[in-house]
Amino acid sequence: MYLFKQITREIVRNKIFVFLLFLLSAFTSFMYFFVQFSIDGNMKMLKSLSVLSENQLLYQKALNSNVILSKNFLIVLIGLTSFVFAMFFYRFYKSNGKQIGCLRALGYKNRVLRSYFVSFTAILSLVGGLFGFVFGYFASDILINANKQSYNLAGLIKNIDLSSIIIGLLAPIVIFCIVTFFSYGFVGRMEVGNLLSGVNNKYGFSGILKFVNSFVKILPVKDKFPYRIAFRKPIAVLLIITAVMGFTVMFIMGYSLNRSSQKVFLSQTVGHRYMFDTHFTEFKIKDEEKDNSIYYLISDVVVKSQNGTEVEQQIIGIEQNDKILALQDRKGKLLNGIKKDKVYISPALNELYGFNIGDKIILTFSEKNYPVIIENIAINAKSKSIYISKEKLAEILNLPANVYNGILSIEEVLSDEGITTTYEQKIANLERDSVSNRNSAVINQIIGFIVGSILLYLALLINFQENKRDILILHLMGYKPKAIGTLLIDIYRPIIGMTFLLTLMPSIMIAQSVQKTLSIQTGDYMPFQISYLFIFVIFILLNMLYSLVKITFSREIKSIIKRENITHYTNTN
Amino acid sequence: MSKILVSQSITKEFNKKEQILKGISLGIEEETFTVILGPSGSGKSTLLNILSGLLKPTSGKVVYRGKELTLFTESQLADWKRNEVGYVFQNYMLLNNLTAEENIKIGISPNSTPLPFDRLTRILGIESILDKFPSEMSGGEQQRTAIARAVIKNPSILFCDEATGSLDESNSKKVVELLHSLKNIFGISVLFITHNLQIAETADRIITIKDGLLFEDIINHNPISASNMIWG
Repeated sequence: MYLFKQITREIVRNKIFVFLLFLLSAFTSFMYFFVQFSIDGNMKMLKSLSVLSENQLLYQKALNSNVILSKNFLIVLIGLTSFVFAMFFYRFYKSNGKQIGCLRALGYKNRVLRSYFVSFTAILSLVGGLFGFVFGYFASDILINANKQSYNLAGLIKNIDLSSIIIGLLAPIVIFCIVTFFSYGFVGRMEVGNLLSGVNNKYGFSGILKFVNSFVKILPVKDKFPYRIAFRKPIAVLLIITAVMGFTVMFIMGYSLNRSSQKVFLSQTVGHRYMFDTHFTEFKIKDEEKDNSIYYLISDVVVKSQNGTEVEQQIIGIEQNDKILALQDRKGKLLNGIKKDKVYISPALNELYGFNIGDKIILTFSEKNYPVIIENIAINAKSKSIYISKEKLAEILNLPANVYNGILSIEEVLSDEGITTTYEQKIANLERDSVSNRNSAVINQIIGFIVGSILLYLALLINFQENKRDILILHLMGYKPKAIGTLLIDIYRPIIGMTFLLTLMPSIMIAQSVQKTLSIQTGDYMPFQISYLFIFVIFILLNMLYSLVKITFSREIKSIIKRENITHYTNTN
Repeated sequence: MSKILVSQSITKEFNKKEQILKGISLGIEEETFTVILGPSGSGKSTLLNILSGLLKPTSGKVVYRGKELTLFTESQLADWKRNEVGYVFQNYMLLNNLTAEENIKIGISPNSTPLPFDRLTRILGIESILDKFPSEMSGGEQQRTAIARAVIKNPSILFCDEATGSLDESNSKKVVELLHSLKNIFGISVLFITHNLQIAETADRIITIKDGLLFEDIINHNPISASNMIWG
């Protein structure tokens, strides 16, 4: 019991850090449950229906995307929170090595001490997780209502499966506990005598510190002191790198998701001059030529690349009629008719699966293979579709050349057999599709902002807690709080700027690869978008965030000077 | 008298460069007050840490009542520390979040019969400060609390590393007197590290360490009483 009291009180002394860990744990499960509460019940409801309306189908597609997104959010946030847990315990063990040594000298086993730390993490992350669960439950109304409006569906429900509760609540707890378990190794493997005397107390950063010393030597004299102080706290620097990268990646992804919806919207409208798309379940014979329509053949196909990548697509056999559908290449140039044995592919096949112009690919229909060459990439190709000449597709499908099962037309096709999608319906569907991406964009930016703020705050907090003695000594030497702030806090602005520049390319690459993975997982093409202007905006936002966090600490310097006494830090005990 | 602790050819190197101990062999008798004397940097604290299981030697053996300590697993070593030995450090090493009473009681081992709490605190003169936290105590009070924590489990041997190093004369005398009393009343062997010659004169045996080697090992046939120590 006394051991529990001692360790708990010592941990709780770091109340701000503990509170931020609680917040991160809560936020991790909140983001998951916020999305998941809107998924599980409705997914079941849709599965129970024998026939789905067009809106229900679109909603089901959006829910499938959200399942993947919520899991990705969970993985990212578990990763970040685990990192902060590891940092917390590393720091805790570093500053409490003597106390832990004392407990071990009293005969407490590593196993017992480790179990207390793991229990602490379990309790903290359980409470945080439950908070996240409850807030996620209430907040999911926002998503459900947005879906009700976007898909014009009534009766959407809020519910969650047991498996989702286990994933969202227990998985983070287990992972945080594993991180805590292993982080005890910092002190667990040290000899008690060394812990008590503080000998060999470098905790694995000696290489970094040597590098820092060499780097600081080349700086101008006036910058040496603050840079040395900043860089000698590898944890704070690591947190800053993580904060800046996390913030940048999330904002780039947010921007890209938002812009990708617009790009997809444009690609599905530019050159698509028809007003009606009528699809027939049975093949029909073309009996007349119409100037204001395209008769097409459509079929499912598996496209296989030379390196074995297989992708399910729709293949559309079309006749050339630019007045109805004008396919364009990447430069906006009109694509003039598909040659026999050649196909046009969509940008998604090129960007996500690596199919290129000139590649020989295999089209598989009912286990029969047909080799063709990719002639070009049509930027306004219908999603998940490749284009071939109607004549060739009819040949492949062993059909007469005048057979069709779809019409793109300016005027409405009056037929009882076909299902017609009007231009207005198509636009409405595209807009609904983009709602999901826009929601994800907002969620990404919220995560980026919150996680970035917490990590930057933690980095400055660590710097502050470890510099209290230096603050008091500088004060004794006559430095004013503002000057102390310049030495100890302002130094992080150029460090953040440098970190941003150095990590920009990796951040863009991470965002791009995450978005690509998301596109493949969800089957929803989201072209990666980035702009120089937005990169500058991120830099400004990052600086604003830093300024906000800095204000808190500038005030703290004054209160430390008032509150603390230098003698406390000169006591050897 | 039988030996409670024996060391054989103990060496200790740090970072594979610096050899702190260069082969020390000695034996500590049961129920004696032994002082290890030596100047700063002579290796006496490292020797004490090795003898008490807080550090592992680079080579050599430590044997406690016939059992080779240096072969103990981490768990066996922890049990041994919990049940058989007590430590008193120069900087007290009290747990800052516990009161004096809690600090003492955290030292009780579930597998041994503790000394009577009230009697012990009375002997050490700390009955009135039991509800105080370490930050509210004087150095002398902290050290006496640390001694109580070390001996409450009724250890067979007490390791004291410069236990008076942070205390003034009066408190230092009190602490040395108390340690002698504990040895006499409860039969606890005491191994005391110091560079103070006056304290050494109160011991039954004085071992001197110099440059990592055993320099002198003498039996003190006429130990002076701790109360008669002349501080200087």
